[in-house]
Amino acid sequence: MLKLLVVDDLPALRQHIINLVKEKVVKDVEVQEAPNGAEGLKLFKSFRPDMIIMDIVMPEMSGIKAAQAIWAEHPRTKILFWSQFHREAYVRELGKIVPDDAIHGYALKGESDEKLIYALTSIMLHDNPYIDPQVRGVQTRLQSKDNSLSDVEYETLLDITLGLTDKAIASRRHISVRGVQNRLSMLSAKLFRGEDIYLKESAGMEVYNPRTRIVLEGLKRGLIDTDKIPELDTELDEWIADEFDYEKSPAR
Amino acid sequence: MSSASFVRTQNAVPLFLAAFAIATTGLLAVHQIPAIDRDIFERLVVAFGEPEPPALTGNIVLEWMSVGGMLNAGGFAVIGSGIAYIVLKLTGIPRVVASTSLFVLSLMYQWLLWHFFQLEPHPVGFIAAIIGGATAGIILRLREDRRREVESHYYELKLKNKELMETRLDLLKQDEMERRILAADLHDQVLNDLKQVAHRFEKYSTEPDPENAEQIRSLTNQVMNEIREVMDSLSPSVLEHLGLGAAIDDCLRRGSERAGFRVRFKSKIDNSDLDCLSMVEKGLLYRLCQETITNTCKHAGASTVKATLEREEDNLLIKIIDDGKGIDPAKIRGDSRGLKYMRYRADLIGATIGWKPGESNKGTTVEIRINLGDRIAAQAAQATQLAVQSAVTTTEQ
Repeated sequence: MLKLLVVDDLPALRQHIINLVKEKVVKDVEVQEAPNGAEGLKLFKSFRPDMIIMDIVMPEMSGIKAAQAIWAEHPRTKILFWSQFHREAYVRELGKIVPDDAIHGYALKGESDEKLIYALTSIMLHDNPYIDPQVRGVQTRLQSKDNSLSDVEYETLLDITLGLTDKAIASRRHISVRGVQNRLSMLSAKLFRGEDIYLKESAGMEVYNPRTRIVLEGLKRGLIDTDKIPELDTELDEWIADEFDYEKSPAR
Repeated sequence: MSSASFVRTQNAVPLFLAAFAIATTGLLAVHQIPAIDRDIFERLVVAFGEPEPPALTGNIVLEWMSVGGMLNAGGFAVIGSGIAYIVLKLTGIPRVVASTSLFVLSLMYQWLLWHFFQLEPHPVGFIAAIIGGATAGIILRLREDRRREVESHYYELKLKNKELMETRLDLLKQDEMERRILAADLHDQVLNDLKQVAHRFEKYSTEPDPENAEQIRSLTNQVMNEIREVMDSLSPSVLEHLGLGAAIDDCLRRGSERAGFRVRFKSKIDNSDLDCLSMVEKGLLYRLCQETITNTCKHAGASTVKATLEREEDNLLIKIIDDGKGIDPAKIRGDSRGLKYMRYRADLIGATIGWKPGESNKGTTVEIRINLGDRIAAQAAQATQLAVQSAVTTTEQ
């Protein structure tokens, strides 16, 4: 049975999200509650939940401090931060402390229940990181005929088109390395519908490089607008300069 | 004017004291000290009871032309001038007046001694006069120095006090202005939107359609966002929850959204390095950065703005560097009210803020410094004290 820990200082909000999980996400779930980070940390040690829903601002110990302590002990714990703060700084800061193996998310209080359910489902059931697009300033989606990809999967597609490694994508998008890998496998599952796996099994070897194949598929389907690539590349240079303090030497 | 005349009247007394010291020491030295009382007495009797005619009574000029007279006059002239010089070094008395008065005084006294007591001049007298004069001079100098120090201290304090009052008033005015802006924000946005929400609710009670409900929902969300904005301007949540570095970074990025410049943020310090700063101090540092970034957005027309946090020996150094138009040197010197307020605010927590032209005279570099070393030391001392106290109480128990 799935174990869920809800840490929030407002009992009404805890109840609301617990009901939501039980009604809309997983029926069979064992829940415990804590009113602040310190209590949450204590409960975590005895209860060992699979998933934590964590408020950020609480008396005694903030959600960020508690998460750091929990991840230090158990880096695979899934945590959905549930906060009222819209600033990207929070997501960036959490991106810095998330372990490579953790799946985490950032959902906003005051947004619709549907969004919250989506966030809960993607983290609890699909191991996919979720960060509210309002906070993250999501990549504006190019016009495409294909709506099968979600915004974040689309974003990951562009990131691998630009040639970024898992680690670089993780740091750019403020998620964990495992989160990136899960997004990638979701992406190939959607694009190839398992065909790549059949091919690998019957050939007995990896025939295609999966990343390149994903990019090719994206191009074939018109998901990647080649005219926009210089623009995306400039954006990437911006991020590299900002993140690593590395200025590309001007083109000769 | 008043202070100059004050100095002069004060120094008439020292001048007399100096002359008196010369004369007395001269007199004492001429006689053998043990026999002095009787000697003087005898000579007083001689002088007033049975006045003997002076040895030379004719021409006073001739009398002074004797060897002793020359020695006397010359010696005392030198001493007088010397002491006058010492006194002059400290006071505002004209050189000529002081030397002349001392010279004349010593001559008169010497003549009196010779005329009534037939005292011969003696070299020991000169030496003693020099010592006495110098002592008097030194005492005078010390007194004068002290007086000046007190006086300048007084004016300095007065000036500082005045400045402080002005600063306080300026800051109060600015706070008042900010409060008005806040009130206007609350009134114009939040209150108006809430009125609309109330209005829509009324409509909803008569015709409950889903479109109306959706509008109420989005309006309520808007109000929430507005309140959040207002709250954030009162107390920035990012600063409170994520620390100074993240807050400055955030402020920079928001500035870039408004003004379209590129941002670079680099923190070479740990968040724990800033633990010695209180929340108020961090808040004020943040406000300084915020104001700097706002200025950059408004005036600089920069294409890149960099912010760095680093340790510089005991100090925390925050640099905000833009490559824009640069800042008018007159403004840095104090023509700009805004920059003056920023200096005041920095002053409140013992920080400094400075503006200078950027590298190769392009753009502006703003540097904010605050001492961390002293604060850490103070906290460590406090911690030790607490530890000692608790140890004492435990042993007592």
